[in-house]
Amino acid sequence: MPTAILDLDLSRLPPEITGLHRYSRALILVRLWGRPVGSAYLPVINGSIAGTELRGAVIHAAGWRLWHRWLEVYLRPENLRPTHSTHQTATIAVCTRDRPAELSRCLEALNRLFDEGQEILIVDNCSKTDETRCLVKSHDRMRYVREGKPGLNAARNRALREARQDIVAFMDDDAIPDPDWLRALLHNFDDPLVFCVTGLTMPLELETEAQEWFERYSPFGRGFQRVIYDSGNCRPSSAGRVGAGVNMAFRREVVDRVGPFDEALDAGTPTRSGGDTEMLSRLLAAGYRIVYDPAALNWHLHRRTWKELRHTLYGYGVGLYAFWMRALLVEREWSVLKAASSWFFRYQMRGVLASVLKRPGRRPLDLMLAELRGCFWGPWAYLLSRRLRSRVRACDEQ
Amino acid sequence: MSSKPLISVVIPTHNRSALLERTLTALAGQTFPLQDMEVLVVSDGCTDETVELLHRSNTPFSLKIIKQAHQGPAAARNRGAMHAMGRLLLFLDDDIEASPSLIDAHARAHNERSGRVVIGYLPPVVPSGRIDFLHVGLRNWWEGRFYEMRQPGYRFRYSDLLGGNFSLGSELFARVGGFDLSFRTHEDYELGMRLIKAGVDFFFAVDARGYHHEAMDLNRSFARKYEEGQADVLMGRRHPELLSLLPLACPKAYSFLGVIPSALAFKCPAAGLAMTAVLRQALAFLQWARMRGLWDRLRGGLCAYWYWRGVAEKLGSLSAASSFLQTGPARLPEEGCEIEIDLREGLEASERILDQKRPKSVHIRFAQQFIGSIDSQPGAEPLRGVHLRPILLAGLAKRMLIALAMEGVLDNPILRNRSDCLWR
Amino acid sequence: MKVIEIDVSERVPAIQSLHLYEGVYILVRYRRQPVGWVTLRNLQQPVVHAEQLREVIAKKLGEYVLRAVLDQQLHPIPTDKTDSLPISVVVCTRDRVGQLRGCLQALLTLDYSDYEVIVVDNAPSNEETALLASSLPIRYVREERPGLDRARNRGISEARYGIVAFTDDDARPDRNWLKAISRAFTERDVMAVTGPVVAAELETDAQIIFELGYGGMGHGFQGRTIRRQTITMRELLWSSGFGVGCNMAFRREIFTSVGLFDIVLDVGTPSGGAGDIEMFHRIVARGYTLVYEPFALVRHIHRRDTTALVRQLIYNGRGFGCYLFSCARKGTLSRRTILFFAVREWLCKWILRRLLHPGLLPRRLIMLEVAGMLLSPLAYRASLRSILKGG
Repeated sequence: MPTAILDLDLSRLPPEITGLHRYSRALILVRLWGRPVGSAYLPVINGSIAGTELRGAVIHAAGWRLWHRWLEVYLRPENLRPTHSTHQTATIAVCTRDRPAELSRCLEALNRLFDEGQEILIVDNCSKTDETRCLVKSHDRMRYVREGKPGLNAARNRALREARQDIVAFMDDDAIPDPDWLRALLHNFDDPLVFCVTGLTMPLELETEAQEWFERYSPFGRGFQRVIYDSGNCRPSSAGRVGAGVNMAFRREVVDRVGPFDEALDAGTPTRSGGDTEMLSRLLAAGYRIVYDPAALNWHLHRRTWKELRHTLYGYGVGLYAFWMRALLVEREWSVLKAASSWFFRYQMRGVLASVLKRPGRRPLDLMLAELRGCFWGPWAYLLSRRLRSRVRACDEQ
Repeated sequence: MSSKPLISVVIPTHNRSALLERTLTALAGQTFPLQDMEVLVVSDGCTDETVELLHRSNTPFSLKIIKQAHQGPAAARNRGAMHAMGRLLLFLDDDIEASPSLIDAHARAHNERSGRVVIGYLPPVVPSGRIDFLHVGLRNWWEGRFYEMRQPGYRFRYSDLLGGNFSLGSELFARVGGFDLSFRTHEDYELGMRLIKAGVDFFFAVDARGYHHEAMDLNRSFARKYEEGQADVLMGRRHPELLSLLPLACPKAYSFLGVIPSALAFKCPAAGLAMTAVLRQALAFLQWARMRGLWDRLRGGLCAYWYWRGVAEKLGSLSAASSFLQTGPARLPEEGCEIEIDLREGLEASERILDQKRPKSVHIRFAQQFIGSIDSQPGAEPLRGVHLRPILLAGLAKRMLIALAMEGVLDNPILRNRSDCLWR
Repeated sequence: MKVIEIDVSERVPAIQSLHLYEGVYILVRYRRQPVGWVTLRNLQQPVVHAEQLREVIAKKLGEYVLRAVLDQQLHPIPTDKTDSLPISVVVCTRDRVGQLRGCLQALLTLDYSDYEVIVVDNAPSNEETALLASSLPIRYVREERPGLDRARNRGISEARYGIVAFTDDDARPDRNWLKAISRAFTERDVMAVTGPVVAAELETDAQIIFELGYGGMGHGFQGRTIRRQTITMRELLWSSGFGVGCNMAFRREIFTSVGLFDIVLDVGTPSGGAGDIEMFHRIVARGYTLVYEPFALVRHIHRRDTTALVRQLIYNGRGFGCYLFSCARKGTLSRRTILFFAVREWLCKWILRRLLHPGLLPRRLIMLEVAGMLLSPLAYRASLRSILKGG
């Protein structure tokens, strides 16, 4: 049952919505003067959503945040748009590999952002063809860099090295930013203790079942409340709930403070994911702050087929446990053991059990099993990845 | 040049020659014209090579060396101020490495408006690589304070005056009487309290950056807590209205372990050193095991213990402590006006009233509807116009909105684009 | 207790002369939209100052006022009368001329242009009602067979217009009642509209117990759209939460689709049946839309004396039981679901919770409601038999 995605602003709410005959549900992102304040699912009946239901759901979803935003603008009219912060601009880095179609849409959207003097850097991670380079060259004011070492984290490290500005904002190649995305991100870096800002990610489309399940499962930023995370309120081993690599920005000096991204993790290596979570956990452990700001919104295109979804969830399973393995071995985070066991028993086993017993609200069994398989492989994947890397490094040095 | 210098930088120092050298080098690189400033280093009973270093050094600015017996930073600063000839006094600690624009920023802030106290930014210097919990906690504490001070509409308190990097007019300093010599620590807070009472404006200059090379370890932090305990007793005696705010007023809240540290401190002080030594090993283990929660709690308990040891030294017994606490509320003077403002006149008008009257507390209403009140806070500066909006947004948001709704202000379309907005 | 209304968008007055009352019961509105209730009891003086009143309203109903502001911003009340639909208002009555007079007075002074009033005199014992009706510009119809639902069905057949609104003879509709109903019917999907019912007066103990302890007949002031797809099974069965019979309106065509009021549920008394909630249930269960519109306000005069209240509660229990039987018989939901609902929801949650924390409502009265429920199978069977025999 496909779900329509609607983006509505309370200051311009239509009396009713029609023309949704293809859909059985709608996911509505509610904004007030551009700032996202809530989201709601509504059933679509006969291709339309009646006014009373729309209004009721939208007001309920926005809640107190709506009034808070209103009062904020009433008291400080300059808060209508986030003003220029101390950090005027940033480098936007997109790491990509062999996906020229998605990348092209992403670049179009990046072009449409307000010009704040930002630099756009595309890091091509061992693409097999030349299409990516030609695509980037066709857009002027975008830089192209090719990174020879395979691995998403290697590409991210390269981006951090090549960037010319102090702040680097990462975006996945299958995501597109919202117009206020960059400004909202930069605004949060005024606090010198903040070294990373993550944002909210909404789905671009929910046409297939795989996409709907991904949306339910997804580790992407979800809430509409701005939260500041530090080691006081978030343990490093549960850094996953802070944000995801699809929408995050760092200060360049994070490399000096806590070290670069671990190139043994994330896509392109046997561990498949977890590279972003690992950096977030390291930042938390070192006492820095991470801000989750829903105003920094971007839209992600989820995988369309079921097979890809299974593959992705397997990857998440591997990555999560690989990250925990690294935290245990390298950072000596003993809390990882507790986190891993509680996650395993309370979340995964319970999910599998619910699935097997066919309880309501269960997740598909094959997805859960895929993730579980990933979990068992995870720690070994990390060790394997590390060994591969050291071997490559040894070869390079010779 | 025989003209009087504009700024006198007073640096008290005690046996920290290496740091002092770095400080002086940094001062030599200031963007501020060096001929308009003088530096007075007060050697507070130094037994190392500080004095030789000072005599040896060849500074592009005028450097005066003052020697005195070891009496503490308060006395050293007062002494330095006495010998200073500049119109402005800038107090700097010997472990502060000034950024090139530090003095310039202070001077500019004073030029904008005279008669204020300018507090500089002291970002702690972070050793790269792995940092232990103690330093991480300290760094976050410092940066958190400065970040708060930077927010528009921040209401300054006596404890915002940091002796390591602040400046004020020399007449003002003389008028309030300088530092209080009986304080070995928190002498800056005590001066801050007197300045607040005198109605002096505080200002935070984020460009006046001085990198703080704080050498801190666990032992030193406990020793500092001990001194703080003593200082707080003196502070309570000197300014009784602050008693309710000080940690010694609520032993339970001070540490997770509750009243145990205070009881121990009073009853068996002899066990203190031994217990600390043992628990310090435990802390080291927790640090190694990266168990931050437990580490925090244990350190909190130890800090509380040493704090109460300091209090015990001044007050003697628990009963004396509780009777000391009683003296506070009875002597709450709290003159200073309490006014009422009506937001229907407009936000700007209300801010102007606040700037004029500088009340200690305010009742806020919107026409007929009562919104709330900003209570008087001992130790905080009187209210100003810029304080109004943040307070409304933070604490009184709900009541303000309801008042606006009931007064019919929200009748006009509030959800349109902001071009037709409705504040006056 | 004194019952008054205050509109916060206008000046909030002080309340005077409360010597005879033990408290005040205030209906708060914002620009005519009802927002909520405020009760003030144990007053020290016979006067409540405006300042104090505003304070209390702000504290208890502040959020609801904000919500009403937002509702009106997003869905403004139309000020012109061009879109008003013609409505037939049906009042069923039986030997209660005194009450009926008040009701008709309220109906004839409604702020609406296009409507007719039909009085259905149900098995009267004298001519008083007819006499009253002849003196007023309303239509009069006589239904000899006793039964509230029969009377309603007669009213439907007599109605001329496309929308039929019902109210009771002891109810006093608000001035904007029809305007609100018409506004709710502007969306084509809406088939039924109900609204809140508030107490017209709280003079006697019985009325106070009914309104404040039992919950009265109101269902809050939050507008809702009720559709089968968006509600759970439990909510569908709790159709007494959708509205009340003395404040409901339907599009006439719905009766051809789902049928008329179920006369089996007429258990012989003028107001003891559950025909109204059964109709709500049927409409929603068949997939149509019901809207609860807070603007469509009706004031009701609750039973004045305790014996009448007792009888009312017994009938409530009995009526609800019969309604559940009717659902089982019609097969809108499986019998197992209905049984589970009866035991788990109604008995355990509704009744037991009230027994444990009675509040104003004496336990005795709750037990009476249970007694009524237990009588329901017999009553239902008797009624069914008599209908089948009578034809």
